[in-house]
Amino acid sequence: MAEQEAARPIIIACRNVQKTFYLGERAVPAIKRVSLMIRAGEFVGIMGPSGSGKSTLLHLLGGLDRATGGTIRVAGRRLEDLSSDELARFRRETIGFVFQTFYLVPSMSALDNVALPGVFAGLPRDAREERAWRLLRAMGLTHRADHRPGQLSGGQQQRVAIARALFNDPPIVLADEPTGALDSRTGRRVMGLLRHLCDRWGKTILVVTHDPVVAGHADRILSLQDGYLIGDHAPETAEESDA
Amino acid sequence: MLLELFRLAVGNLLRARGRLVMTASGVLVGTTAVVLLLALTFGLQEAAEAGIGSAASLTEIQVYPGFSPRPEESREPAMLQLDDEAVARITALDGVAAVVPLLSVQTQISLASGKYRYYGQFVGVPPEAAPYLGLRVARGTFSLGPGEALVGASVGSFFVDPDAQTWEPVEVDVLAEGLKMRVYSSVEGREQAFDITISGVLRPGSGSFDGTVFLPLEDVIALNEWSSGNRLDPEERRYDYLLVRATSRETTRAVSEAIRELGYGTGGVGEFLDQLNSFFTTMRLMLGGIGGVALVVAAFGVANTMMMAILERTREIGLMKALGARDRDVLLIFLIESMLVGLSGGLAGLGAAYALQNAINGALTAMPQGQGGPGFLPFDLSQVGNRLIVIPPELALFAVLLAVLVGLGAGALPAVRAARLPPVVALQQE
Repeated sequence: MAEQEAARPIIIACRNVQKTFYLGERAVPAIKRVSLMIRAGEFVGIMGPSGSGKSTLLHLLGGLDRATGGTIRVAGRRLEDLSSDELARFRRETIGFVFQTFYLVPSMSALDNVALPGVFAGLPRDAREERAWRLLRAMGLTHRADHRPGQLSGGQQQRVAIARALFNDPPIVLADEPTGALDSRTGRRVMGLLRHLCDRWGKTILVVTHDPVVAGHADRILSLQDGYLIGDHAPETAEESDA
Repeated sequence: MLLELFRLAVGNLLRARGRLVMTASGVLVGTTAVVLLLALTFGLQEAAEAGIGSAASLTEIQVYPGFSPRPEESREPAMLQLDDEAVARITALDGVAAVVPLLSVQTQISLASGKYRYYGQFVGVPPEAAPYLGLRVARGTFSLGPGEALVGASVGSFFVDPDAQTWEPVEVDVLAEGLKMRVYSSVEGREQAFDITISGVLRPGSGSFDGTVFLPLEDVIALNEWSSGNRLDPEERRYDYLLVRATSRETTRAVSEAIRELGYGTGGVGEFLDQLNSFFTTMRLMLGGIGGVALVVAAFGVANTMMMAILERTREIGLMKALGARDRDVLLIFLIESMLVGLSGGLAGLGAAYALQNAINGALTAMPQGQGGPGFLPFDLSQVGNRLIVIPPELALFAVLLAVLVGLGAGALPAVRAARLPPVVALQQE
C-alpha cells in the first residue's frame, strides 16, 4: 500500500509558508514556516487547538487567502503567482469548499444551491440543473431538491453543501469543521460520505477538526500548534496523544 | 453569464421585497417630480407656440420695404422697394425655400352673393408660389388659375347686406356657383361685376389670412390697371410685402438677419422662437433641477440600501467567491441590483406622472372656462387640446434612463466595495 501511495502524484506542496495578520501595528503570525506535501487521493485531517492556525492553513491551500511568505503549489499552480481572477478560476476548478455552518443561500432551493457554482462557471441553466440533480441523487436527496435550506435537517444541509462542493468536479475538497454543527451520529455519516468521496471518487480530502473521533476517519493527521506544524502521523497516534 | 447574474440579482431583490419597494419609492417620487415639472414646461411651450400661430408661421418671414444700409455705395434711391429684383435677391439667399410676393387690389372690391357682399383684403400671389404660403384647403381644391380665388376660413361667415341698417354677418356658401366680384373703376366711376370661381376654402387658423381673398397675381395686376386706367411697367411694380419661407425653423433667424443685411425690414414670429426656446430651456433647467433634488435624495436612499445589503450579505459574497465568482461577477450582481431598483422606481414614477398628467389635464378641461380656457392661465389652452402637462416620448425615455443612471451611480460605490472584499474576510464575518 505504501508503494501504491508513493506512486500517486503530489497535488499540494507547501514550502516555508507563513501567514501574518496585522491588527493595526501589531503583527500576529498565524502560520509559521509550514512545509508539507499531500498526494492526490489522500484523506488528511488537520488538527490542533483553536487559534493554532488550522483554518488559516486551509484558506491558504484553497486560494481564499494569500500567504505572506513561502510557496504553495496546488494542482500544478503556484498560488502566489495567480491574479485575483486566476485565483477565482482556481477555486472554481480545483477546490470544493465545505463549511461548518454550510453557508447555503437561504432563499434558494437545494437544487439551486448545488448548481450555484455553475453560474460562475458560465454553464447554461439546463446543464447546471442536470448536473446538480445527479449530485443530489448521489447524496440521496432528490426528494429534497425543491426544499429551502431552512426546511432541511443539519445533516441534509451539509450533504447539499457537499454536493455543491463537488459541482465543478474539483480534485480537492477542503472541509472546515464539517461536523461542528451536527450531532455525533450525523457527523459520522458526513465523515463517512467524505471517506466515500475519497475512496470511490478519488478526491483528495482535507478536513479541519478538533475532534479526534472525526479525525479518526482520516489516513493521516497534520497537527498544528501556535502556527507550527508539529506532527504528521497516522490517526491512531493522534487519538492517543490527544487522549 | 450576464443573464445568470441578472437572475441572481433579481432573486436577491425579491428576497427583500419591502426594502425594494421603499427604496424604489424614493426613485419613484424623484422621477415623477422631474417628469411632471418638465412636462409642465413642454405644455406651456406648446401653448405659447400655438398662441404664436400655426407651425408654418414659424418658418415665415415678412419682408417690408427698407432703407439701403450703404446709400453712399450705390446711386440708387435710399428707399429699397419690393420689386422683382428684390424678390430675386432674397430668393438667392441661403436657407430660403421660396419668396411669395403679395400685391393687394388698389380699389374698392367685394365678393357678391345676391344682395350680400364681402369686403376684405384681396391679395394677388403668383399661383406657382402660392403653396409656400403654408396654407391648406379645408374644402375644395388648392388651385389659383385665372378667374379663380382661394378664400380664408372666415370669409364665408362675414357677408353683409350693405343696404341694411346694421351689418349683420350672414353665412354664404362661397363654393356655390354664381358668385361675383364687384370692382370699382375710378376711370368709369362705377362698379362692375366680374365672374369668379372660389376653388377652395382655407383651413382656419391661417393667422392673418383667415379673412383674405387670394387671387392670381396676374388677375390683380389686370384689375389694378383696369380700375386706374394706367398701364404699369413691370419694373415699376411694387409689392405690398414679401412672404419668405425659410427651409427650417432653425434657419429662420439667419435668413431674417440676411434680409435685414440687404436693407429690407422683416417681421414674423419665427425669429422670436429662438428667444422663446431659450426661455423655456432655462425654465426646464430650473424646474428639472428642483425635481432633480428629489432624485438626488433617492440616490442616497439607494446607496444606503445597497450598503446595508452588502453588510447583510457579506458571508454570501465570500461564499460566491469561494465557489469561483470573480470580483467582477460580484460587482455586476450588485450593480444590476441597484440598476433594477432605479429602473423599477423610474418606471413606476413614469406611470405616476402619466396618471397625474391625465388627472391635471382632466381637471383643467372640467374647470369653468373663461375665454377659451381656465382664467388663471395667460393663454388659451383649448388651442392645444387643453393640455397643460405634456409628456413627450423623449421625456419619458429620458426619465427612465435617468432613474437607471441614478440606480447605477448610487450602487457603484457599494458594488465596488463588495467586489473587493477579500473572500476569507467575507466568509468569517458573523
